[in-house]
Formats: sequence, C-alpha cells, structure tokens
Amino acid sequence: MNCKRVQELLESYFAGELNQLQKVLLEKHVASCQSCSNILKEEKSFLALLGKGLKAGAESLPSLPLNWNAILNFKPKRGYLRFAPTFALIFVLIACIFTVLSPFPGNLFGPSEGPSSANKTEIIASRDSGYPHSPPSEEGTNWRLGFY
Amino acid sequence: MSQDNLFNKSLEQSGVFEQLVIAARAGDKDAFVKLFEMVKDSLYRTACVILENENDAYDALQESALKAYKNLQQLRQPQFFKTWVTRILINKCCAILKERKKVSLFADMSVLQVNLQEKSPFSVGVMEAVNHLSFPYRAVVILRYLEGYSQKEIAQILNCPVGTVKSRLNAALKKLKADLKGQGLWHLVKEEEVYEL
Repeated sequence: MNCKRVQELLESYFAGELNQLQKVLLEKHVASCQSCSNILKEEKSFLALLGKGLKAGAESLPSLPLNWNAILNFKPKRGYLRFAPTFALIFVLIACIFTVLSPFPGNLFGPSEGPSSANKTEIIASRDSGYPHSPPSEEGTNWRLGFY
Repeated sequence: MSQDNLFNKSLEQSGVFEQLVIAARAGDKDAFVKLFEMVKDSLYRTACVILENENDAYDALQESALKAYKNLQQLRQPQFFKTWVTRILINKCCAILKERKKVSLFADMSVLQVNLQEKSPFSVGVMEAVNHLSFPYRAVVILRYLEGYSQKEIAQILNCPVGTVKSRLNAALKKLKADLKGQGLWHLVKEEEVYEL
C-alpha cells in the first residue's frame, strides 16, 4: 500500500469501514512512514472537530411540532379533473345535436338521397329476377350464374 | 457515530421500526405519528444544515412527512424506515434549492451561525465552510458527520454508488480543509492534535 492509497482510505479507516486486510496494511504502512503518520493524526483531529462543529450547530435547533392534522387528513386537489364528467356530458350532447341536425347526406337519422332513376330500373329488374343488378331476363338465357 | 444514529440503529435491530410501519400500513395513524416523531429531530437538523433556513427546513420536513405517509406501502424493508424517509427529505431539499436558484434572494446569515458565534469560533468556521460546499458534497458531509450514516447507507439515501459517496466525501473534506485554512482556523486542528496526544 502506497502513501496515496493510504490517504484515500483514511476517512473509511476512522469510520471503521475497512476490511481486516486493508486495516492491517494501512497500519503497517503508517507505522513505517512518518509523513503518513503525521497526516493520520491530523486527519483524526480534523474529523473529530468537524463532527463536534456540526453537532454544536445542530444542538441549538429547537424541536418543532408538525401539523399532523394536515398530514393525516390530506386530500389532493383534483384540479381540472373535477370537471371531466361535466365536459364529457357536454361533448356527448353536442355530438348528438350535430348528428341529428347535420345538413350532410348519409347521416344516420335523416333521409338518404337514394339512387338515380336509371339505377332504380336496374334494381327493380334485378329484384324481379331475384338477383341484384342482373340485366333484364331473356328467354332461354340463364342468368343465374352471371356475376358482374 | 452520533447518539441519535446509535439510538436509531438499536431501534432497527429491535424491530421497533418494523412493528410501527406494519401497524401504520394497516391504517393506524397513531403508529405513523409515533414512527415519524422518532426521526423528526434528526431530519430537521439535516434539512436546516442543507438549506440554511429554518422555515424552508420546516417546510421540507412537513412535506417529507406527508410523502412518507402517502407512500408507506412502497417501503420494501420496514426496518430501514429512517434511511427511506431521509432520502425523501434530501430530494425535497434538493427541489427547494433548485427553486431558490430561480429566485434570487438575499440570504441572511444562517440561524445556526448566529447561535454558534458565542460558543465556538471553530464551529462557526465549520458551518461556514460546509455552507460553501455545493449540494452533493454538503449532503454527504452532513449525513456522515452529523447523522453518522455509513457510506453504504448514504449511497442508498442519495441513490448513487458507494464509490461516488467515497469520492464525494474525500473531495468535500479536501475543500473543507482548504476553507478552514483560508479562514485561519487550521491551527485549532493542530491544537486538538496536541491535546489528544
């Protein structure tokens, strides 16, 4: 273990978080290196003072009561979601009104434009012959199997 | 390790946290209140040092309690309630700090420093040096040296690898030393060293 590695591990060493092997190697190095030994002593007192300094600051803080009534009975605001059913109803009504009163052809509830007169003849003829869109029947002609 | 954290570790081991979490999940509001009251002071201290403002710290604490209450079902290991709620608090503090950056305010001297002035110049110097650290470094220093968490626990709270915690701690300590030397307080460290010898 070199000096750089020892200095990196010092913080963990003082917190007792090194494994047994690392601890042994570190202590062995420090015992033989005056520079690292001085750094170790300095680091130890610095960390001790750091902890004391932070705790001294924190000790002066009061213990404040929380507003438990607000926490335990909290109900989230739903915001715009509160109006969702109203909006949905309005949308359905508008859709119904639009569908009923629409001037455009092919709407569900109004009359359809219907076929032209030429088409009407064809349809009537085919209705009589029993096939849709079949031409007028001729004698001797079997249209049963005609596909158009 | 701080006295509070030793106390909390004994609570974890004895299963007190676990029992209270299970009761709170079952709908016992008093159990949750009792549970949170055990860790409240520690959380408030942490928030105060991070945010340097008692009002913001109180808000962060209140909101953390609310979030913990709403999401208690998501806590997988009830015995680590304190670590889990500390994480919520740290995230809340981070959000407050980000919000502060958007609105520039003249920061008054922290109430912690005001109270400390009469007690110890080194403590004032330490608080000032800690306040000079950016959020990630300040958080690891506070969690480590004020609350006494291990590197592994800090990694869980901050949701980062243990290696990141180690490197942040080393970097933070380096900055703190430089700051204390700049303030002319390093001789007190030397005196402490001599005192210990």
